[in-house]
Amino acid sequence: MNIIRSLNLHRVKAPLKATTKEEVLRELIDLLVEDNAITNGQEAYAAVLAREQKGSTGLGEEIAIPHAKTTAVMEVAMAVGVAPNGVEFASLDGKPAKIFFLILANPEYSSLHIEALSEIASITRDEQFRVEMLSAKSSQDIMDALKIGG
Amino acid sequence: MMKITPKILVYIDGTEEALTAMRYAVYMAKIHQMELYGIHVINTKALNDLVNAKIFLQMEQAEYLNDMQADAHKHLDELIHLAERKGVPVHPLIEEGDVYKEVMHAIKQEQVDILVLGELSPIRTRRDDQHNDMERLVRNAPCSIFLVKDKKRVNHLYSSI
Repeated sequence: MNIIRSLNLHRVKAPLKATTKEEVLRELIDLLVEDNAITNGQEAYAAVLAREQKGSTGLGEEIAIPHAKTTAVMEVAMAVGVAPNGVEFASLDGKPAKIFFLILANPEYSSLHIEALSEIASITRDEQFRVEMLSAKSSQDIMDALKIGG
Repeated sequence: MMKITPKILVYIDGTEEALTAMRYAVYMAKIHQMELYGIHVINTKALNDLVNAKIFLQMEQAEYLNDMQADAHKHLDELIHLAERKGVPVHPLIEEGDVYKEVMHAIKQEQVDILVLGELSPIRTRRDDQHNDMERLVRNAPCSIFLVKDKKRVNHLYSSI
């Protein structure tokens, strides 16, 4: 699958207003709620928070990929945000995270969930992509960074 | 001369595009009297990569593997159901590993003549060339390939048989 295809200008945000991990999760989930991608924001938030409590999804290199299985989403949905000032996310390298990919998947779509996470993991290994994301000042900048040729 | 029944393999991954490809594959198998195969690959390579990249916890790995195995059966059951409704027998294949490698292996193992894939996504992302198994199969599969487009038309064809 191509999870990027599920994105639109309403599901990406730069800059995020959030200054804490919990606020980041809520802000990204709110994007999906407002765009009708998920039916129950509170259920989705609880699922993501429960996953974070098992271990942070802050991977280091200023990137975090919070994710969870939840019936609040029909199949797989993603929201992307950039917080230029960084947010403490208990990342592996101990540094604040700035680029966030929230991925939610219905438990019946685990294969697509894996594909989506794998796709994002692949994209985020590209240093040029990270640089472009970190300089994003608008939702359109994020969309441009996610596509070849902008 | 002995008549050879061509073999057709449809790749199934649970996407809307794959569902359309399944319908078209059933249509082709029925109309052209082809032997129909369906393959779903449980992407354990991606799962292992996610654990290695620390995106997944070890405890998540086993849980997701179970879910993915259930997914595989569900998706192949969809194909069997679609085919049965049209009286077309199916050889379902479930493999685990790297999607690209396993599909390539099945093509060779079963001596498949035509691989049927769902439409490729129109938006291409960075590193897509390396990541997208479908694009790699299109480039490298040793058999002919059908890329299925136009869901409405395919639904019409499927309903017509």
